[in-house]
Amino acid sequence: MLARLFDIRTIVGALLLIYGVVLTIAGLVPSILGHHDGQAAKNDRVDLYVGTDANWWVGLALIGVAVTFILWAVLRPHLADEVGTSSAAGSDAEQGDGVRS
Amino acid sequence: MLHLNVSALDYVLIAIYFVFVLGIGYVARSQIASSLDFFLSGRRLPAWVTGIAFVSANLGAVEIMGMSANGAQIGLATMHYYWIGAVPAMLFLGVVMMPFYYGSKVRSVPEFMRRRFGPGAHLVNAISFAVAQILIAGVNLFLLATVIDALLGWSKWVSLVVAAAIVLTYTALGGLSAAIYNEVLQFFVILAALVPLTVFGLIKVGGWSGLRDKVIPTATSDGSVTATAHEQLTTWPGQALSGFTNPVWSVIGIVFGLGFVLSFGYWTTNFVEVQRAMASHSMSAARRAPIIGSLPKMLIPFVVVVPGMIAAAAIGDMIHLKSTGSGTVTYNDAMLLMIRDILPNGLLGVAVAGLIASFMAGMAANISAFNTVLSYDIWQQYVVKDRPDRYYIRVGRYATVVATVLAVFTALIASGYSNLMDYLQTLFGFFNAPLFATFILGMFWKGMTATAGWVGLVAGTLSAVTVFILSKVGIVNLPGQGMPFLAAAAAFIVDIVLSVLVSLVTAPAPREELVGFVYSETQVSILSDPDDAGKSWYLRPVPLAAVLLALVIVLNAVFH
Repeated sequence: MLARLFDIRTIVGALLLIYGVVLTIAGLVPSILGHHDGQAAKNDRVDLYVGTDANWWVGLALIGVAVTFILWAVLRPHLADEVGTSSAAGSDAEQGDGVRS
Repeated sequence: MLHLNVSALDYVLIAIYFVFVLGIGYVARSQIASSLDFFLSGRRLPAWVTGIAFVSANLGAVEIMGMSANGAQIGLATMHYYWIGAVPAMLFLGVVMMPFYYGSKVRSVPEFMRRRFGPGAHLVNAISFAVAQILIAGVNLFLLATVIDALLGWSKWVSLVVAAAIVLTYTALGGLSAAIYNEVLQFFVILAALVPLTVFGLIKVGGWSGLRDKVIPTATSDGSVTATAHEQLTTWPGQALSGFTNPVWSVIGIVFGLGFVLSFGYWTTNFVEVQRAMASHSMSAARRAPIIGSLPKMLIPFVVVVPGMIAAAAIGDMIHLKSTGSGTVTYNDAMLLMIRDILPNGLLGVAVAGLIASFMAGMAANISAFNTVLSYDIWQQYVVKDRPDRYYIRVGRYATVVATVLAVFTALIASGYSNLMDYLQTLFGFFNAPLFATFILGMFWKGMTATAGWVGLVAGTLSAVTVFILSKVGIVNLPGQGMPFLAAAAAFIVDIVLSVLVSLVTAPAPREELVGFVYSETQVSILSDPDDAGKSWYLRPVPLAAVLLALVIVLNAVFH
């Protein structure tokens, strides 16, 4: 079970999913954010500040990427180009519990 | 000035990241049964993971801040570091050199050196590499502390010690697997910040054409212009980068110095990166790792160099610095200013988490390469031999602790240098350019002897140091970043010439010892792999490399 979850695709997917959800909420409910203070940027030739709506644009994109990673890990537990290595990895992990000091 | 308006939500995002980082270290620990698991992830990772780690190990914050600084200062010429420098070298590593590294089953680049040239060259290589890793890890740590201080207002010592403790925890627990998994994670988090930053920045300045119109010349404090607006919008002949006034010499300096010598030396012999590829599960995967990595590598400058250019065209403090040569910010702040001025709270947290992540991943990459070389190449080879395998895992864990403590002290030394890129490249020039000369000659010429191996390395490194000293005392004068190119070229030529001369008067190793290490003595197929048959082109190293080479040539042509 742990070995199954310890798939880098699941890990990346999980983190990006959490980030995506948090950012989407932050974009839709901007009142939970601090007040934006543009003082430091007042000499800028172009006003670059993109606004809090950008949070949910990026949040939704991250959710999309996260879902892709998780689906990939679920639908293809073992990658096409790793022949016979996954079983070896599993047995190593089991031995690891006994051997580690 | 750089201080960010961080909200509670941003800290939540940063905290979530730390939970993941430490969690990876904890879980990776259960997969370690042998020293090979600890130092090389048991050689069982798929190519796309080692490929991303290959790039990500180098995509530290030093790179992100240094290259956006270059973008702000000299503009598109910075692309040469990627398109002439890194990418061709990575493809060369995958196609030509990886069959020797992976096929000979060595566990590190210095070990290849020992098996090919014996202990002389091995000691020079292993010790210089180990020292360099500590130095670079220290630079990373110092920068992290400086940036966190500027952005969040934390005490430098607190962030320095906390970051070092986190890196120590997960690399000591999980070994290379933990380092690699965190590199892959860091890669996606930093992209989640950099891609939106670049897109929003470009929209705000009016797209690519709006940016082109707003680029201003780079001046020094005495009023002389070091990079005109036109120079910043073209990549060739890149005089602002190389510092040569003659355009022909500038092109030669960039192609030979930066491309062929400096970058090939760095990317093909630097164990930090090569170690990632060596952790792959098969020869084909090990060869594809740097080849797959070259795709993100050729696209990364669009979200690193371009934001630097936007900063220099739009942000008041940076424009002031660029037109007068002085001000309250430095070029290294370009990316931080972009984060400050563009991103709202929320995305700000992702960006800060990404920056901290890239500092830590960069440092972990150096430390994990260091502990492998120290344990396998120095300790097991010369100090305590023939102990059970488990003993060397413990050595690796202690080496990780020692390396982290030394890096914290090195962080203090790093504070004396202002221009990070120049400093790091100085190091690369000293260590890597002669290495590439020795490796490539040793791999393809069986007559090269053990004595030639170490003599070439030492003389090459010394000639790089000589060029460095000559430029410091003003005898050689290159105003741009051309000095490391010249030092690397000198090291390469001196190494090749001396290696050939010494080989002619000393006796080569017996042929049976060269099997696996020299082309003519090895059953190695560079143009195909035995397990290639019946696979799609993107699963075969050579066709994949050919497609990516074509792509980088197109990029060079489009942005000339």
